[in-house]
Amino acid sequence: MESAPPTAEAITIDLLDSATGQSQQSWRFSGVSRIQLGRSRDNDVVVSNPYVSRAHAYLELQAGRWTAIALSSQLLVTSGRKVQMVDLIPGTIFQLGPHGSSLKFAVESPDEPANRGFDYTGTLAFDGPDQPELKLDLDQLAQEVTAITEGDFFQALSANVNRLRQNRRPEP
Amino acid sequence: MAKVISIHSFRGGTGKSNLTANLAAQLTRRNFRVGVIDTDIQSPGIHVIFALKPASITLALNDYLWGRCRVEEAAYDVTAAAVGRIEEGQERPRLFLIPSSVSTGEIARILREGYDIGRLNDGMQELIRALNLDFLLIDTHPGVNEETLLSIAVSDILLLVMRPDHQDFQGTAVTAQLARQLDVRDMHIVLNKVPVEMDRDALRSQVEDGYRAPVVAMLPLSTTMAQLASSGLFSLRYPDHPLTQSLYPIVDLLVK
Repeated sequence: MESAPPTAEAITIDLLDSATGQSQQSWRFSGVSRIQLGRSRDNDVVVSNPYVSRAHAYLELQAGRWTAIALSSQLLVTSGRKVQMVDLIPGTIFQLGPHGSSLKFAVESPDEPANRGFDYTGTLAFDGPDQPELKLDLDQLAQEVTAITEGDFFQALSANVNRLRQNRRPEP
Repeated sequence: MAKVISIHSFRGGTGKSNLTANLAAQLTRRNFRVGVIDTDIQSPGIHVIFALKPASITLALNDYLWGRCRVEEAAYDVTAAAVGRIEEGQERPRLFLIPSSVSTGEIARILREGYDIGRLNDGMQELIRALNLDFLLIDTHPGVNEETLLSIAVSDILLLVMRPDHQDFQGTAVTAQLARQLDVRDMHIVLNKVPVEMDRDALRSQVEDGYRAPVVAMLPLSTTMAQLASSGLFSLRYPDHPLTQSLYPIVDLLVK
């Protein structure tokens, strides 16, 4: 027996402040396998944000793992990508649509670390803190820059740039 | 001597106009004479943030470019939007906006016929003189065209606004290289709409290494800002918000 039945663990969902990342509001659930999130009042987690759909998404417990599934066409955003589904592990942050609120998923465990019962290595959705891949395509960059700098306008501008700047100084 | 500051982004939707308007308001609050010129002739919008009603725009930048008026006649005193009412004869602070026309006919004419780009440059210099400006902020059209290249070339300080995503990163690199070839020395990156869960230090070094230019600010993605939806000056309405606090290093840089 590698872990207690997952339903024994309570989970928490934190609404994060968009600017600071601090928790603004927290919900705790135990003994449930489906939690609905959205803007209308009949959801389990009610988020009053105009960019969140009335019924935006639900969390579902299946085979011991929680998954967030979008109901809204605005989808969910995690790790900078719009997705239909997010596999949740403790600490996963996901956003209700590109302009919606950010939520953090956590598992509560009284005597063990929060990651109990979860196997990090097998969780494909988790790829570290949300970081987009910022890489420059240098060939494309050189091509685009050259296409502009070889143009007549850029050549004329470049030749006259010092005169243009001097013109800006107020007349004595 | 006046400083010319260009605020540019490679793609739309980066928050460039909101940033420009809030920087202008904050400079005004530091007791300067500030002008903001909307050279985004194809899709003007910054007048909305200053609550300047389209009906009250009798003359716009377009009228100057067609030779229908002097450029300072298209300048509107919007000081009250930044600091509230001040006395009529008071020299400082002052905030002027030179809007582009929101008339579809005027926009179509610019797109159809073009205009003399040299006249835009003359106009900016004339504004500084006629209005005795300490700062002229240029809200540019996204992408690279003749007026953005001119704005970049004549600026003392260039602010490149981008979101932390791949398309913005690649596109902004083009502008940064062009600016360097035009010998713009004071170039800074403003990262906007940075999600809270992002590793800020890693992001900063990626951008600074990629562009060889400093990141002056990383502004958090804010739903409060999104809800305001350009209907006012965020930094005045929420002076203690982390987003507003993140603007101050930029204002310090411009004043330095």
